[in-house]
Amino acid sequence: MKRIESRYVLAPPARRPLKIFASDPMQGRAAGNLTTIAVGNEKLTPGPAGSRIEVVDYDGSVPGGRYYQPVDLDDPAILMQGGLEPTESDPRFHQQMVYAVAMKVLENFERALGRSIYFREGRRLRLLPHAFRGPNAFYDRRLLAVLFGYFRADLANPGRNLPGQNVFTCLSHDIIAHEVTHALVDRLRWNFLEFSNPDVPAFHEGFADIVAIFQHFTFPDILYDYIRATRTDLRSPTPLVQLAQQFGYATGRGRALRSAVDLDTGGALRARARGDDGQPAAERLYQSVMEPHERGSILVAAVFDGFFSVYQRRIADLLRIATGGTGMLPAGDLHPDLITRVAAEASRTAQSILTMCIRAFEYLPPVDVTFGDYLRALVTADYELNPSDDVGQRASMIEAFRSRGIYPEGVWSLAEESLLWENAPPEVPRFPVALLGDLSSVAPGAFSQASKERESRPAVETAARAAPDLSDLTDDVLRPYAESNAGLLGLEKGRPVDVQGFHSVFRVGQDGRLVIEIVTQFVQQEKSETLAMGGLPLRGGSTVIAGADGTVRYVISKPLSRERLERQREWVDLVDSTNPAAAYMPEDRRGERMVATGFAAIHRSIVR
Amino acid sequence: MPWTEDPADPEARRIREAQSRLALALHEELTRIGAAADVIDLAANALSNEAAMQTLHAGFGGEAVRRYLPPRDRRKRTFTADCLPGVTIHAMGPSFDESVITNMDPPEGKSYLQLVAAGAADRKDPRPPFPGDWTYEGLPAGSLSAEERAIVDGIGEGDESVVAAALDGAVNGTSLVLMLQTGRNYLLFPGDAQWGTWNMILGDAEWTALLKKTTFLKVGHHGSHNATPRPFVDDLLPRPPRELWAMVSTIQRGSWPIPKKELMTALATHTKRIVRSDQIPGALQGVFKPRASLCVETEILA
Repeated sequence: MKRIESRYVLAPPARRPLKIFASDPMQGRAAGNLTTIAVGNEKLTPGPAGSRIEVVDYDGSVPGGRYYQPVDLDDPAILMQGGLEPTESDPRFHQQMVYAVAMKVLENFERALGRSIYFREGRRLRLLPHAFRGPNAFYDRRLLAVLFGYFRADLANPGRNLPGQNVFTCLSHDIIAHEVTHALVDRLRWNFLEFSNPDVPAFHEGFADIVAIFQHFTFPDILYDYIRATRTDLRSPTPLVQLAQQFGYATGRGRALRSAVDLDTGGALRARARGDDGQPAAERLYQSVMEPHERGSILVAAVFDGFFSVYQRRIADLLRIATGGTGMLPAGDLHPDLITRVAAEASRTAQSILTMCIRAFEYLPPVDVTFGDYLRALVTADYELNPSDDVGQRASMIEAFRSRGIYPEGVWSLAEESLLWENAPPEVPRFPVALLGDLSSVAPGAFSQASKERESRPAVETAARAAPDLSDLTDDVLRPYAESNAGLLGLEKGRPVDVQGFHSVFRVGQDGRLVIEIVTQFVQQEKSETLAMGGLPLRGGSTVIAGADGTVRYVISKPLSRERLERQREWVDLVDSTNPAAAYMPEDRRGERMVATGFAAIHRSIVR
Repeated sequence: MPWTEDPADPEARRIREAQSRLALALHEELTRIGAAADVIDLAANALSNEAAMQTLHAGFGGEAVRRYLPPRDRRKRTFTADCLPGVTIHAMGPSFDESVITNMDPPEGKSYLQLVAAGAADRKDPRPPFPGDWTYEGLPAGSLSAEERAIVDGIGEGDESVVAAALDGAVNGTSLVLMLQTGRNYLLFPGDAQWGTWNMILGDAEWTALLKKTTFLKVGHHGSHNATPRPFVDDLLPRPPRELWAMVSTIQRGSWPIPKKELMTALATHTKRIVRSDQIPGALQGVFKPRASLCVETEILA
């Protein structure tokens, strides 16, 4: 073969460089704010539209609607300059930026989960960068789309914006990352859009903020600048740990939308935490704050705290080396080499924490998640991959959650071994799928299948037609396995089981060994009180994790129970009594009052 | 009067100003876009309180002595007044709790005000989001279906009713909650107090002990969903054979679930003596008439 015909020569470049605002246009052309990120290279059609993400620039705010000119990122003129230059006045740059940031989020998820993510029925996630007028942006499940709004900056108090200028939520890295994360969480856990306890919507919000914040640390230029400016104290209020600065200022708040550091920066949450009963402020928050974004920020703060302790531990030696052993930084500028090394540690730690946070998903129950469940999932997932916890990543995380009063239910202590999900009892029969047989025909992760038991969801039938083998597997193997071993798998005997997710995971552990797992979600429901609870059925279910040899290792279960029903009823009551609109809701709509099709309603109060 | 009316209290002033600003903007905007009558009325309800309050502040004829309740000092919330001999007054709400105060100035309101201001700016100076014409003629690849476009076009519809309800809840959150105690009688007037205020009252052992003795209840907010909490009715309100009177000023209107059926059914298990303003033969013909007299007499035995 001629060398010129070899794959080395013919292979397309692996990455595509694209320019973005690292935070948002308000930071202007300040060093580091204009940055280039590289995303996986794929063939793009104008939009841009790739295999999983597609930008549709439709504006519904003008009568009759309007499309804007789509960008062709494969146009040589654009390729040559590594994407369009950042600007607010060219919609094609907006399209480029939402695409680039969304791809980055997707890649972070894939890297952590060790598999590719496809959306249901092979659809593409759509991004509408100028969908409507209004200070808001949200994910909508019906459209499988993220809709971004644009609005006029506050006339009286616009911060560093021009009074009345157009502000685009689609030009905020944080807002894009946050909303795309909602879409991905919805992809991984379909039932988390059923807000069956206060932690479920808060988890959605908090997790989206975690992804947005930790993604900041992957931009080397701004990381370098802020480490220099804060003299390595990353908790200082900088755009690095704050979310959506421009949005916050443009809406007249005089500050960023949210911050990763809850109690240190003061603000509303801190005021709310004032207590005279001697209970530490942070613990009160988890018990008293119910608004999803605020409650979510407790989770964010806990994770950030964990990150910060690990980071400090990791740079301690560098600081000692740089200071002749004292570890006390002298006044004045830091040595540029030190900043570079510290930035590298910060970036590595952030990536490792972000990966840990996303990986925990495989270990979450399929329904009704709580922050406590999430802590257990974090610990278990990390333990499976890195049993020894050399840098104290797990220990720091446990401590950060503890100090915020987040305790999982049913554990004896907060020691690591009692936080690990219990191992499945040995009498659970082998998982019925032989890894190299059935699974090898399935691209890892390309598959997540629902059974016909599911309530009307046209998506399901389409998918079943597209992949008949997979639905056979679900119907003939997985469901019968779950139904005949219901008791052992934490399910209720005699009740139909729905298979809501099934995929294999391949990862490389700390010691270089390949960790292979088969993860399956089984869900059951009790619908007798669905109407009374505003459209929320009571769901129970288990995430079953099996090893490569089919041995069931974990059964992470939320069984159907009277107690859970009671608790869900109380929660719905609380939502009803605190929602002023409930007083005026027509009787015929009350049966669906708890049903969310996306985040429009939650985010309506985004300006909190 | 509730402490939120105290002109000398800066927090009260802030709350009142925020509420009036929102009420005004909402009312103007609703009228401008031609919203449904019941929603406009909801906003107007918050507005009209202004005039009533003026009268109350100025006094009906001359200088009335006003007290703002409850006092900040918890120990002074049970007191007597010279004008009501033999009556002990318990001022239970509105609460001073941070979360209750947050609800008096709802965040929905702030974001809505901004939307209205931005809308006004747009009308004054309509300009496209980008300089120049970037419109794509025709349908690009990957365009939305008609149904999908309808969803996108409809974003923001119905926001006004959500904000109107939030404002209504906010105004009601400033309701004065009083229990008047005279002889063996405990008369409870919770105004239109909402969950926040009730929650603080139900968390106070002294107040719950008093609530258990209620002999007369004025049902709040026309018997709506959130003005009478279930734990209060189920666990504290006396049941037969103890005597209880309940009175509710209400009327069914449009699609609003007022009065709430479940609440009326639950109350019926506590007492047969429920007076409903919409169910007194001949008293009302579909609407409340201002100044129409409506009396139900009962005797209170000291």
